Amino acid sequence: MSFDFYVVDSSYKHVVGEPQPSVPYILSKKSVLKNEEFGIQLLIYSTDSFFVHTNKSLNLSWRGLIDNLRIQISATAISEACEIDISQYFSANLIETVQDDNGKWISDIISDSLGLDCHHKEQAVYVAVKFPKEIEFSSCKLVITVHHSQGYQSESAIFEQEIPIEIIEYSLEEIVDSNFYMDLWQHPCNWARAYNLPYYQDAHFDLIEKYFVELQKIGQRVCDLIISDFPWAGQRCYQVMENHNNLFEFNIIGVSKDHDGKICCDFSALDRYIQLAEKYRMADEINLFGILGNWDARDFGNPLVDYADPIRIQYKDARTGQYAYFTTRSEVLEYLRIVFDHLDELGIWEKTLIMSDEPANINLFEAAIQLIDEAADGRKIQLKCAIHDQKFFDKYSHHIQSLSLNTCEVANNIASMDSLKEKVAENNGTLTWYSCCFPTPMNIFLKSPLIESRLIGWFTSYLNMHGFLRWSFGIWPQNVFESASYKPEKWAAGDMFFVYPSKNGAPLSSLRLKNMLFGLQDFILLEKAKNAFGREWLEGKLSTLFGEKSEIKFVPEREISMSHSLEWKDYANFKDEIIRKLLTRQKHLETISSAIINMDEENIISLIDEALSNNIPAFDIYNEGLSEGMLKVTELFDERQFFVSEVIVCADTLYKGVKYLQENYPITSSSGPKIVLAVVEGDLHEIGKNVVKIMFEAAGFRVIDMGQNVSAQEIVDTALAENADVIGLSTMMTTTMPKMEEVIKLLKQVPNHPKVIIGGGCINPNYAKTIGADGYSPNAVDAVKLVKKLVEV
Amino acid sequence: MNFRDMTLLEYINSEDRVFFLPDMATNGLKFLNCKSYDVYTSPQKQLELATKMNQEFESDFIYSFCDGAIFCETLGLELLKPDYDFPSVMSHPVRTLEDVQKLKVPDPYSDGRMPTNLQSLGLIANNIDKPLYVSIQGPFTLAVQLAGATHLLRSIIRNPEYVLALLEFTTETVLRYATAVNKVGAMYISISEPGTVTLSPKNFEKYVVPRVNRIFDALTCWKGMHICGDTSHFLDLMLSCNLHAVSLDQIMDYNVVAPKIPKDKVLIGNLDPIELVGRSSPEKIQSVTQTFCEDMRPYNNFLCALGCNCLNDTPDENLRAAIQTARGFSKQ
Repeated sequence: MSFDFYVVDSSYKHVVGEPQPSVPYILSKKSVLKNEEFGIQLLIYSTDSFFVHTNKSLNLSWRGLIDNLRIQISATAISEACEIDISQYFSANLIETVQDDNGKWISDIISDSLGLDCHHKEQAVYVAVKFPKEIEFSSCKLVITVHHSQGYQSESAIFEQEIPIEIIEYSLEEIVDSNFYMDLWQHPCNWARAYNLPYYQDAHFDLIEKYFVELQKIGQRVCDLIISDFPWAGQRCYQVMENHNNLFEFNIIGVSKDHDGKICCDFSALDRYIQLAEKYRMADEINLFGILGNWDARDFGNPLVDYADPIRIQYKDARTGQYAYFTTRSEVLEYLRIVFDHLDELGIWEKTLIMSDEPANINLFEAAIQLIDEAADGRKIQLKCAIHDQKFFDKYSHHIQSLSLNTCEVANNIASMDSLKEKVAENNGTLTWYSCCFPTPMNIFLKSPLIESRLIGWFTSYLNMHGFLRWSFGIWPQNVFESASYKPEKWAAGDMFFVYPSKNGAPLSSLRLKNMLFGLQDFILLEKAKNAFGREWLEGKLSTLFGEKSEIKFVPEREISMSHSLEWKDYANFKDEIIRKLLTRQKHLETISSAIINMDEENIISLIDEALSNNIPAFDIYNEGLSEGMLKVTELFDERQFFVSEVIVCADTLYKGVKYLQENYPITSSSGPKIVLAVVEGDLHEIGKNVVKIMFEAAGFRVIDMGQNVSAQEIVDTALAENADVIGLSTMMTTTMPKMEEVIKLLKQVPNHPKVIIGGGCINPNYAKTIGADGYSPNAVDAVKLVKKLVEV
Repeated sequence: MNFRDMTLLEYINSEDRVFFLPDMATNGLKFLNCKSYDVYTSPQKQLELATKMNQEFESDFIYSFCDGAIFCETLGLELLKPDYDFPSVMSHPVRTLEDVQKLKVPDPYSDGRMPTNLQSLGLIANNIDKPLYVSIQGPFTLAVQLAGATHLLRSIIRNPEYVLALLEFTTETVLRYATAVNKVGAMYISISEPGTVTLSPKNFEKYVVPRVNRIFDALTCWKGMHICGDTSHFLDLMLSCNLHAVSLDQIMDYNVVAPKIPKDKVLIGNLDPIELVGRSSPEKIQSVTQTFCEDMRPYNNFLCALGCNCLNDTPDENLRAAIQTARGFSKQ
């Protein structure tokens, strides 16, 4: 029995029976950023079946003493001439295959099994790592070893590859902290059924939480609430007998009618779902499903006799003790009023959008809006649509706050993407794109090139859109581990899921999901490059990878044509170029920032000039160099490593740099909140106020410094004339404290007046409360925190 | 034994009760129906005021109408002079080493209002049989007044030569005046250094400690130091000075501070002059003062006082409540 081994990138798609990877796909070294997750694959090919495991000790197949491979991962870093074991950052998982529509077995499931029998004679292993931001090494050495044993023979290493890894001194932010807008729809009833759990009971919520953990990793922003029964009518799942799938989703709200026939709602599950979503930071937006543009009235029917949109709502009737459906529009209206009131009471109405999945009938849509508007009772309703119909798009898209366009619609409207984005942004909406069962390119099917999952982030950046939407995160046919194929004539295998239902409840990730995650990390870099080097530069580069935007064409009925590269190396090379450019930029900005901390007034101008000559925009120098340095000074002051002397001299350096930039370059002045600072009348102590001023300027506030010994009337007049957000008053003397109260008394005569904070040696929180100030701060650093809270920055 | 023969520590333990050191100054102007400068310029008025304050708010010390601006006024700086409050410095003209070199150390016996002050203090010391307490601005705080706080603190890093020269001048100025004050009968001189609160421990040690020590070394009376604000970061350095007492701001938690004070040094303070004495009721003041004295009972080096100057409009009954409660508190 013989083996072949290959180490390849995570985007390499392994299909059982297809040729072994060729040279371009072989990975011999790797670069990674701090806090960037990455994965590589070890592919094992043999001439016979074998058992493979990742245990640290002995493991055995149920088939006994057959050929046994043990995968060992070790990693070391060099520090001060010592080798340090850093294997703990690495993990190795076996990859299970899943059957595609064409019968081929594709490596996709990142398994939690410690050992697998490999009947296919081919096995992929997934090796992952994410170095924390704090790691101090700049390189390490990953060694993948495969030990072989057979029968009672001792193990022998039959494969060992050393992969040098460069750990780049650049920290990637978490996806959840990035500006990528991920919108993957949730199907909690499907998840419950995979484990035979009762809907929305404790065990179901435990399961939901495990899915939310995975969703958070990819930056999910939206919490989906399905507030009617089976809005998609199960997508006609009842017609599919083979490898069947129950696609019915149920109302998260418990509906009943009391003995008087009054509609009652039990919101306990809905509330719990929202709380859980908030915990995992995926409740930036609440989407209501099931009350607008519901599916399949024709085949699945409509219980409503006087309303065309098939809103199906079951309720328990206390008078009969039995379940029934609403049959009239008026019942739906009463129900929606109760629901909307509840959302309003929860304080989430403002971020609630009513979702419509691929609406096409404008008359129906308008009638639904009328009903929802009536139920909203004067509240502003916000709509969101996933659109795949150009006619609908042409006629109605301007009424919709948030849009998601199918890739075909993106191709159709590619020239107007920017104006569309501007339009949704005016309504605080988002513009995302989605792929579903079509088109074929840029999709996540099992048959798709694996790299296309990764390109979701890249394509989003190229389109300059907010993010990505997908109709499903996890819905599975009955025997998904045997075959992922379901309705293959419509839905290519993999269309319905990124994750698999593991035995222990936590979803098993797929290589497609991991690649999408890596692409989202790339998105963060691309956006940084866009901000740093300009959109034009970035898009020029991306056009060489994706083709010109104008060449992305809609191909009726449900396809697009585009000439994007499917070679990861092309993208990797560009990613590397971006990183190097960002590093250079970071170095310049950090040097400027350090000059502020080091009070290097003498050299600050030449450092700025150097950065400018490296094409770093003046505003970035101001924002990420000078201000950043001053913010660090603030931290040092807070930690009592710096005192007022140091802060003043650091600020001198800052002011010198800012003055130089302002005199030579049209940098936009800060657009942060505006604060008027003054020492009250009768007091000439300036130092406290001056330090506060420095801290506010460092934090991006616009500061109007009125100096010391300023009368209450002058302070109020200036604050109102300047339309200030906040007034900061200081005094060191007990005898001038009453002047603060004078300012507040004058302000109270003015509607919508600025907030007032006070501070100074003799001031305390009780005094602030007594005179009606909005806040007190004992020091400059806390003053900034206080004002940020007051003006919700 | 007369208080003149006692140490400060002995004096505050000479009776079985808590002693109280007031510093209320402007609260007495109404009794004499006069303005600040009426008092500053008249030794007789100073005596009248001190006598009146001793009658109205009897305590364990006597004191004059506080004169924090005496140095700046004598040096000719522009002052804001409110009728019923302390004067403040309006400009800070000593910006360079050359400016410092032009300065002349004032002679307390001949320059400006200093001789008047000495006369006032002598009158008070000789006419009221209680220890005379005098608060004198410290050399660093005087330097802040002359140079401006921002400029001086910047110069600590950018121009230490100028700072050292300025401090040399201010130390000499304070030393000469303090020595004169000592000679006319001051029993307890407190060097007030609020301007140092922004300093790092390193700079406090470098710029403040040796200079106040120079002054303390020249004095034969009880010696102390008061600094407003949070002094926790250099309290040890304050205590390392050659002094008999430290007085701290009301924001300092004396339950934390008191155990750190050596038994031979007096801890003075620190009732809240604003929220408590200025704005609450006599009942509340009595209750808080009682609790405070109870907390300080284990420390026989505790001298009750306000944490800082009190508000001009503090009700008289509040001041009395604080003083009388403390002085009525038995240490046993």
